Amino acid sequence: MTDSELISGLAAGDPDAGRLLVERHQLQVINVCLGLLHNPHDAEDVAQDVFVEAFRNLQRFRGDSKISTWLYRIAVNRSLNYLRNNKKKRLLYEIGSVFGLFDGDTRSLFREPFAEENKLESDELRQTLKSAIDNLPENQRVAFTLNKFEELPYAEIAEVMQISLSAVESLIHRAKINLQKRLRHYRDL
Amino acid sequence: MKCREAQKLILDYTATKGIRQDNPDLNRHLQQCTTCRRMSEMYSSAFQALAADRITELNPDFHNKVMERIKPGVARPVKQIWSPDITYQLSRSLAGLAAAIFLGIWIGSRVLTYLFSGPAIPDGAIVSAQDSYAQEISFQDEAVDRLESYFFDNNNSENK
Repeated sequence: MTDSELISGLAAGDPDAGRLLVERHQLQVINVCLGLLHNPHDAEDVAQDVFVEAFRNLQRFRGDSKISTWLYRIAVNRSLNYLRNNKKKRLLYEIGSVFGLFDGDTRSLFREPFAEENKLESDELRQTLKSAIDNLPENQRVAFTLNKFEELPYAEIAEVMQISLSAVESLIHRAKINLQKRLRHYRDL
Repeated sequence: MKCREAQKLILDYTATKGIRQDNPDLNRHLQQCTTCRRMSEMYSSAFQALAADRITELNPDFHNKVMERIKPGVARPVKQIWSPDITYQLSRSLAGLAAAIFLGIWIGSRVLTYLFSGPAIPDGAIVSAQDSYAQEISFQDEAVDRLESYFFDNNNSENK
């Protein structure tokens, strides 16, 4: 079923079309949210809201872009709103993480055998990298995350963020420079 | 290519697939330079680990949950991040931290007291120790005198 058939089915109230839309895009939407929120439970919670919003506003979808792009856009906006509205909760979560209280939420970091020394350094670097990405300005963080982790091309990121292609290039370039500055310590290893 | 240039490209190299083919210079440098290669491997592992956090399995209940939320009048469940179990664990951690801080302050205060108040021996004790030492030396001198006079006297009587 193509995107336009899916939209027609949804508009006609076909429940199978709704199920298909959710199944087809569930993982991408959750992972976009996870990339910005870093908490699987919050990511799933927000992802459900994304689909609710999509179903409720189906008539607003003009079909100019792919459904996935439209869903990504809602997911990014919802995730950023969630972050803004839950600063206290995030702070508690960060404090808890310092004491290792939320380890159950995060998955195994290294699935393959890895030299112990390198593992410790990489684990530290992973945390630093995560923190460095989180501390990027909002637009840079969104563009970088969509490009590096969702592997979206610049053109699609431009559509999701509703900015020009050159603006996306600039955001990602500046994100890389900022990350390099923040990870400078690791150059001296 | 120098290490400085290579290290600027490593972030791109590790974060983007296919960059290696586009950078033969970087590739060559990484084959030769252990430091840059190690750094590149560590960045690569860190990015892979971040990417590994991605969810890869469909939740079969996800669609039903979405449909439930769409129903009018259904209140969203309030999710509690802070459970009693977490409070218990956090209080244990905080108690340990408080104990460590208290111990640190106590040891620190003892060390500072010793450094800035001098040795913990009263002045009177030092004086009496000096007196007894002087007395002991005087006894030793007297004993030497007696021995000298004894030998001197004996020697004189034999000569007579």
